Amino acid sequence: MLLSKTQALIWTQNLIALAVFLQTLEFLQIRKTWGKNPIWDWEVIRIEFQFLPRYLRFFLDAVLNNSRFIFLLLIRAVAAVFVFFIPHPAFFFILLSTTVLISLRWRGTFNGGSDFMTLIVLTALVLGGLFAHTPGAQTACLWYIAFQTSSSYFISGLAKITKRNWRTGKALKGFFESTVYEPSPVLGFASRRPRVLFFASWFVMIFECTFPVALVNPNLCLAYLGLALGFHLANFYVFGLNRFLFAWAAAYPALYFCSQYPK
Amino acid sequence: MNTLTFLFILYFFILTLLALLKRVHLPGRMINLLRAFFPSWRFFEDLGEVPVLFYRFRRKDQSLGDWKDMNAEKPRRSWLSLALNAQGNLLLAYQSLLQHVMSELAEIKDGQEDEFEHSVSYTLVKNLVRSKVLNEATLGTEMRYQFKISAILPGLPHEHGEELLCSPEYEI
Repeated sequence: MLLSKTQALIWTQNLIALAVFLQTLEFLQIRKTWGKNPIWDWEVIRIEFQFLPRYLRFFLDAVLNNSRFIFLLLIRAVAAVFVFFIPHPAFFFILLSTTVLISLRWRGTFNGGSDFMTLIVLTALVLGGLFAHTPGAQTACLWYIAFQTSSSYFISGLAKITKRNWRTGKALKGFFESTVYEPSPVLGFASRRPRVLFFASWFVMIFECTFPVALVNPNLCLAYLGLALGFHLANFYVFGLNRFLFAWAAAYPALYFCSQYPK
Repeated sequence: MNTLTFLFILYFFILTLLALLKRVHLPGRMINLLRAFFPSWRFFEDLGEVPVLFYRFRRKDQSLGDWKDMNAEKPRRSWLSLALNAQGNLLLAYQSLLQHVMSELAEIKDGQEDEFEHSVSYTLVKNLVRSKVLNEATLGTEMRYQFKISAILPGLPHEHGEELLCSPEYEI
């Protein structure tokens, strides 16, 4: 099964729209933490933006304060839905800018890695849309997503493999024990067995370090994407990282498209 | 070997060299606020101490109760939250806020400890504890609360933790 550039773009657009839509619904569900008498009180957070010029602070106050932040989220949700029907660059620009503003509202990022990947995919789609008539621009944007995606696994694997705790399996046990969820029988079983932890750790490290190989050919790419989906599902089960699954899934069509290039 | 293959190998070779270099911490509020633009892919890099938030409260005429772990009530995992996991992600955001506090505390210079009580991170943690106490306590009575943050290695009992900060008592 081969994927054309247009098909890769459409899949990327729809999957990132879905990811952004779900993220926005989650923000709406935790409204009490940013709405009235909130934990993340804009009146407190805005102090960190004193270094900005006055007009920018005025803009941020207007869109990020406790009572108006909901409008930003609603605009974002509506734009995400529109993308499914009219993939105009303007809607991607709205998704990109609201994602940046939401990150600022949470003092940098709300959900770390998933915010990084969402921004990378949206930036590529905005640029790809703006320069749609420039030969090679959209292909370059897909390559940008593909390289960032394979780099994300590769760097993560490399960072782990240089650590003794990861090579012995001890790190994985520690991470299992520090999740925000209640202990599970499956993780309890694994945590009590050093050999299971050892092999699981090495499986993760080898998978991540060799991920760039996915760019070599489409069949290999499909195999790696299957493993990656399983990996993200496991991360969701253990750590609750559901946003990572959707953000990374949005990048996979670009990766698959690029794996088809003759090397 | 064609050009694309060469560039591919070169890119990951450079990436390997960069990844093996010692991490550089860039100080500055602006860099921190814009960190979504500087992706860090070093997920779950190594085991380290994690910050744990404890709190306790009392009515004005009573004494303070025992310290309670903020994450004592751990939610159950559910595959139904694969699409929407607002509560799970909120707990991760609380954890990230505490990590923020921990790294800011590590950077505080001697003699500036008192100033930290007026910082954004501290105030947000205070808001978090206040909302928790308001959820648990009977409203209508004058309440006071206190919190502390300890650094604990995963898997070890909480008594083994190192206390990073302990707040004064606050009124609700």
